Amino acid sequence: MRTHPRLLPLKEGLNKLDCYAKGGELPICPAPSIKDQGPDKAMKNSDLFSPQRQSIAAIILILLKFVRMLVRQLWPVVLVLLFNPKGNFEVWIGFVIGILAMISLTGSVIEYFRFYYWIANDHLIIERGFLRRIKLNIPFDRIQSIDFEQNIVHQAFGVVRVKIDSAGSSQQEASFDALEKRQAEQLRDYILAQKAELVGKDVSEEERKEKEARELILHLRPIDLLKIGVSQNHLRTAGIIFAFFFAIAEDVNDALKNADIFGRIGDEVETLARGSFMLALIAIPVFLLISFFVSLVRTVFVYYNMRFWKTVNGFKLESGLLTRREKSAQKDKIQLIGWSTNPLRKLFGIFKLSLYQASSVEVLGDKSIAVPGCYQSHVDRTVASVISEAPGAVYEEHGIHPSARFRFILFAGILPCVVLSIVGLVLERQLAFAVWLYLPIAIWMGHVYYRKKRLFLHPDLAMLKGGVIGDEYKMLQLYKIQAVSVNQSFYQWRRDLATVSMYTASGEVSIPFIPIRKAEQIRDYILFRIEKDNKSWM
Amino acid sequence: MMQQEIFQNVQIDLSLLPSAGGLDWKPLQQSYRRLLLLSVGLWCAVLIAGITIAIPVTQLPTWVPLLAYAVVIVFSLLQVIFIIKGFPYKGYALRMHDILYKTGWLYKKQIAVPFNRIQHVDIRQGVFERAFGLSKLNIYTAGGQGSDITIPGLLDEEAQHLKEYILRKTTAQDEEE
Repeated sequence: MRTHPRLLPLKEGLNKLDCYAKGGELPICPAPSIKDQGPDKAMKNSDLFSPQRQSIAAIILILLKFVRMLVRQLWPVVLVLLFNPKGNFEVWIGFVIGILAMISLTGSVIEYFRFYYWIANDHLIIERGFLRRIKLNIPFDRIQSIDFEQNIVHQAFGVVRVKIDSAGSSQQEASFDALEKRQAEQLRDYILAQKAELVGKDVSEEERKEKEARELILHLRPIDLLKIGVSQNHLRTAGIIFAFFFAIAEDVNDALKNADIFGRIGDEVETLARGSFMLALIAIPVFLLISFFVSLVRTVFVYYNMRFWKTVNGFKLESGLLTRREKSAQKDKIQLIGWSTNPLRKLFGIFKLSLYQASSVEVLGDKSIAVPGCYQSHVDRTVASVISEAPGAVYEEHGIHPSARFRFILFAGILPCVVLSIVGLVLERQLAFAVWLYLPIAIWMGHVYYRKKRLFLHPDLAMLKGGVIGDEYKMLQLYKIQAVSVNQSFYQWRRDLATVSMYTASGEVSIPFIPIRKAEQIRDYILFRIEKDNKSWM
Repeated sequence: MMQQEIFQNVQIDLSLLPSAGGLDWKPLQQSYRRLLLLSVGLWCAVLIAGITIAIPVTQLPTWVPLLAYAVVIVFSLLQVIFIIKGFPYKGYALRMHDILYKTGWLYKKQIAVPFNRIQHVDIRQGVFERAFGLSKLNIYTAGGQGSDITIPGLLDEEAQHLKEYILRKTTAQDEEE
């Protein structure tokens, strides 16, 4: 057993004395806690209670992290050096790279040797940093989730990256670059078991059984992977690619202020574009084709061999080709469940299922699990295991007012058409008229929007249906709602209509254009449910 | 299951529920309206002064500062209209189990937060508010920004009372659990 590398500073020493005097212990007292853990646990996990370093592979991973960061920060500088016509740039580059390599290497070695973690009194303690020592002290009951991640380097060394997500401040998030897989599992099992005891639920036995008890809901077959890839939102991918190139062009442009290559290229493109429609006609399909393949490849990388389990108190998702990701969701943290299709997915009969977990911090995306490629039966099974009332539930249906159609057409159809045709008049006459071809599509979309938007109310549940091109469903238990609002735009107010929004700890759902009387009744009913049961929402 | 015609009818007798429809809304302090108008006036004055100083420095064609003046004045007037027209629509209501706040003239908002979903409550006071003896009560839930309530324009002791009342309610709820 290694000893603590540092003498306790005076203040902590005093605290320790103090807490002994009171007959209790402060969480920072490291060593004596072993005795209090009960003989079996202490023996099994003894190495968790003394300061530990990460796996030696961490040096490599930290180094990689450094290099990636440096490259991201400094590549314009390197580019400038490369393009600098004067000066013997080879020497320069060699020099710069040498220094950077030295810094990275020493940095990662120091980082590795200055990183310790241990467990004391139901707290996870991490000490790290060279110039600025950081000591994280995370009580188990604040730990929300412990996630593992493996990229290809991790896999080669049999180590995992561990992310510990704790409620409260976001900067205090703890993570390990590399822990031995066995050690990481031990740490997680111990923390979760202790946490369960702390919370008062007697699930530590169940936790242990969890691994056997978990049942596979979905294992993605290659054909399903293909279906997911094909049915991705390729337009979004196109947008991302576009934005990416734009950002790069901007960066390079900044870096090469003198050599105004992009200005010149831009001029060329502009003259070309003004000259012919043909370019656009060729470029758009090519671009879409590229987007299609990019999203296909991305899907394979992210969702390869995806497995989705139901565990004792939640769900677990594992997927990835080079980087294996493991994410978990706890059942009582899930506030909102959504599932959606688009036309292609509908054709294949698959849904994308999302489980939205409560998050005290602003990062919403990170806290939700998205499971693509679910068939109806998977969706039903998952929903049923979170919301026990859902199977066979009978709902009261509320549609929206027909005037919503006109509103949609006005804002998503007429307004953009007017704006675009004004722009068109300035640039290209024909374009100004062509834009209006979009209007019939908008009218159709407005109609679909109106027809699909529905609220289904059950004594304990609310389900929202919507979507224009695809179908979107969201379901929640009424007692998990945090607040309800009834809002009226001027237009709605004139027609005695309103929008009801229900806020949960992981997002909001709303139903627009329902009569104000009904909106108030729904609000009153939801408030009544929350207040009467006084059930804990998490 | 989800897709088919399960959506029939279960009678929820909505008419028997306690309604928040015909509530007695408590308006905000009249001095809060004066405070809002004053701050618009100050902003307007600062911007106009800024433009006036900028004229000899920048040497732009004359229509530019004139346009800037016009924009500032039009926006300030619009704000004044919104404040005066919107003020009567602002107000809050307390019930046994929840608190409601409403605001907005062209876009009306009404939000209701049950006491057993309130995370914490605090009182804030800006420099101008202190001069007017007014405070702002913030009520936070776990539902994110959209579901938090800010009640401005309360007298200091009014805000304090409200805060204490809410805290008493929320702790009472906790003990019941």
